Amino acid sequence: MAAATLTVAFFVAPLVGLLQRVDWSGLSGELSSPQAWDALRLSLICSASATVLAILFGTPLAWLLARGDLPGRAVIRSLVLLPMVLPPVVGGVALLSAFSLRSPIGGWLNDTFGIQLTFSSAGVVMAEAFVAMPFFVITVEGALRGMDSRFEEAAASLGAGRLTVFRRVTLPMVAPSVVAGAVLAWARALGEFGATITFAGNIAGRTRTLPLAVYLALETNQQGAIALSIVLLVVSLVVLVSLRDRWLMRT
Amino acid sequence: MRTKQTLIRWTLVTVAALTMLVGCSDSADKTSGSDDAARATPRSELKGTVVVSAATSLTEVFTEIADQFTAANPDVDVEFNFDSSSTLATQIIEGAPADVYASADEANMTKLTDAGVIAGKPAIFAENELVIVTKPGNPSGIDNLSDLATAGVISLCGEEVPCGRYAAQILEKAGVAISEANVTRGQNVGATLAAVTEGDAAAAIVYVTDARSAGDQVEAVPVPAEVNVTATYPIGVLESSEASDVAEAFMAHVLSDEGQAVLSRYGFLLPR
Amino acid sequence: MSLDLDFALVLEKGPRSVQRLDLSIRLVAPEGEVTALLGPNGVGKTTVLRAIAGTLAVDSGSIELEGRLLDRPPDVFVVPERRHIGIVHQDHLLFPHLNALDNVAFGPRARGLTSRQARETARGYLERVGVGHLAASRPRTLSGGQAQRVALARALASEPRALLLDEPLAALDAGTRVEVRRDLLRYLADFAGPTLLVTHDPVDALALADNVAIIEDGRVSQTGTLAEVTSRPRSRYVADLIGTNLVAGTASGSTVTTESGAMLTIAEPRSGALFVTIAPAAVSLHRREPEGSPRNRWETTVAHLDPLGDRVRVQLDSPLRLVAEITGAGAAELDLREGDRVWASVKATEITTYPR
Repeated sequence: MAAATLTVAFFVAPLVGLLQRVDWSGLSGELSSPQAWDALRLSLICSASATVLAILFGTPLAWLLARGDLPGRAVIRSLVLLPMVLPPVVGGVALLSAFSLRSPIGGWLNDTFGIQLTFSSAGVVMAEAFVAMPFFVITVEGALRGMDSRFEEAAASLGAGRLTVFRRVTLPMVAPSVVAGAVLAWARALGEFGATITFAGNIAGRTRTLPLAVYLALETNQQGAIALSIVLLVVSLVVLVSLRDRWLMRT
Repeated sequence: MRTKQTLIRWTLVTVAALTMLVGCSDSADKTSGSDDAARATPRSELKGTVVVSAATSLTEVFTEIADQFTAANPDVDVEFNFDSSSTLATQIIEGAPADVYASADEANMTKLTDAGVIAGKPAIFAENELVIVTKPGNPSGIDNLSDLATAGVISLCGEEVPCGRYAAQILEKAGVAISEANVTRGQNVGATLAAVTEGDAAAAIVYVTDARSAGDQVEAVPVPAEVNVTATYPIGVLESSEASDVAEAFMAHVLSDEGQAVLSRYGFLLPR
Repeated sequence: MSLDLDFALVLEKGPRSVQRLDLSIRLVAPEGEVTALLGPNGVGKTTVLRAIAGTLAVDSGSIELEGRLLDRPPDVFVVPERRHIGIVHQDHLLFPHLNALDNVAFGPRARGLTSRQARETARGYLERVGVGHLAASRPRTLSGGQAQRVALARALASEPRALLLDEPLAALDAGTRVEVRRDLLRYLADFAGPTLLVTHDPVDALALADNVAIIEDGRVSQTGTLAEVTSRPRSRYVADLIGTNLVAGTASGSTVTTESGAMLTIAEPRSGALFVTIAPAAVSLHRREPEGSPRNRWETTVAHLDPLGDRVRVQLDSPLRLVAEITGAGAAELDLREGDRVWASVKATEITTYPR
């Protein structure tokens, strides 16, 4: 009991500390600064894009990992989930070594299509997707694995092809997990710092997302940093509340 | 029931592990203490650990100076916390434990003296100048400051970080404006340099000493003397230091001929 | 036009193949009739259905529906969605995210109807099985009987050429089961194709099926009407099902030598391998060696006693492991206990024989 209370206190204390340092009267002023808005807007756009990418590319991958009969599945899964345990900065360096202008892929993209990922918003999306997609994949894969495949067999016996079965039976049945996975991935993308600053840099309005702005503002304007942190805190709370059925209400 | 037992077991394991760690460090201290008694080096009676919070641009040179210092004082340990001078200043004002603060500018030192956390008077121990660095071979063809406005993404230190403020002064004196949309801000001079060495930034403005230590990873393009600024590096001992004798000795060593020789070897200018 | 099965298939269950199922099935299910697959649990009845549905491929042989090959390795394998086979599962497997109407409309929709047409068709089938009023209900709000009717409507609505029912009544409580069984009989009578009903309950088979096929040890051991099968049991399973004693032996004149070496005298002379059945009630028990007419009498041991209402079933030990059924009063009079030595007797006229 005592240990549990201590643990809860451990999680609550920093939040209280943060809230207690907020200059509430100046909060709206801090948040209405164009820099704060730029960072918030960029954060929302990039994290939403990264989430869409995670859903589009992560769903087939999750299906393959859960149901596919492919060799070396365990290895593939470990590779895909690696960004979850990798320090994000390392992820950023890894992305740089693959997609910077001097790397073969990055160089080719730039020479052929004139696409530069580093120092671009696309780079932010990429860094965020790299770090956030595993959360989506692992959630959806678990749901697919846990789903009774006899429902899909029943659908097939009714004349539905594989795509129809997936679209009309599999997907709706794992829909809660798809939503949960997407929310988790989005929250992770929103808070992404290390991979973003390493790979995409820290350019105002283009790659300076909310967490980067918080870090930079700590130097110049602590109240600004705290105000931005409050925004992130509110967003995290909204995420948790929307997931309460999964975590908070678990008995 | 089961999870509760597991939890208790883990807690016990953790506590035991922590106890062992503490025990180990205790015994380590004792060993070094008896070593001290046995050897009884005549040159120094200093002992203890000092934490030195120093600007990133001092990373290599301070590490070498500390090696000298600990060689002369075997019972002394020097620990470093390298980051931008402004980050370190913020941390110290927030109460981060440190004994010595070495800044890359006077503004941040002033912040600390104004806050009353510096004991005595800080001293200037080195000076530095700034330089443009590009990728090896200078692929973007940057010959002067005005080329930076059109060269693509330029890496500069954060605006409150000393190297960022110096860069801003230089650009202003030279009448060059770089759109903020083309500036990526490094949190300290190391990160700013890394955007060129590791990333795709076309150029950065960093200290001469950093350009030098980066070796052939970068190519240096000098900043004309008439617009260049001189960074002055002050050092001071903190009021809150619990090993102020060691801290003062370290500061004295940095200012000594021996320390100054190392600084000079790394390309720092010596204070006039 | 019928469902013709003649295939072999080996299924290994579990990560280390702890369970191995070795099926070799020959069976014809005629159209317009219900054929019950009856057999003990775990014998592979559901696996037969999966092979027909196409969720398992056979190793050899063939599966044919209305003269159309569904599976014949190595060259023919029709995917499940093109087999036109309707399935009703024990746990109904209604899609939880769709209401009853959309569950039933799923098949017609998948077969190319517009969603309006599909719903209209679905409504008709729901009415037919008497649950039209539940069209808007989600599966989890339905009772077991209601869900099973919706599941049947769903299977029928996809207009299958064959219907497979996998223990459709097993998950229902006793009262509902009687009701659904009665209705099922009516709906199945209208179905023109072959129907295969998997069950372990002979009551279901008796009520619903025209023919039964007994599956034991991965083989079809007996086929025919239920009356035919039960009047001439050819396996321990069927004998147990109808509660009679089945003994295999070889006849020479009026003497049968059983496989365990015991000798029985029969009324009509026979020759060759045959099965012998003896009704438990025809086995009499005595404390002393009986005198008089019974030609078959021997001393044995009581293995165990099994009270059954006002009667007691007595399992006898070697030389003939028969079950005797005596009245409670008789048992009290004999004062039987497990391990007691008793004399058993059977009249020759009470022994039925038929060739093996």
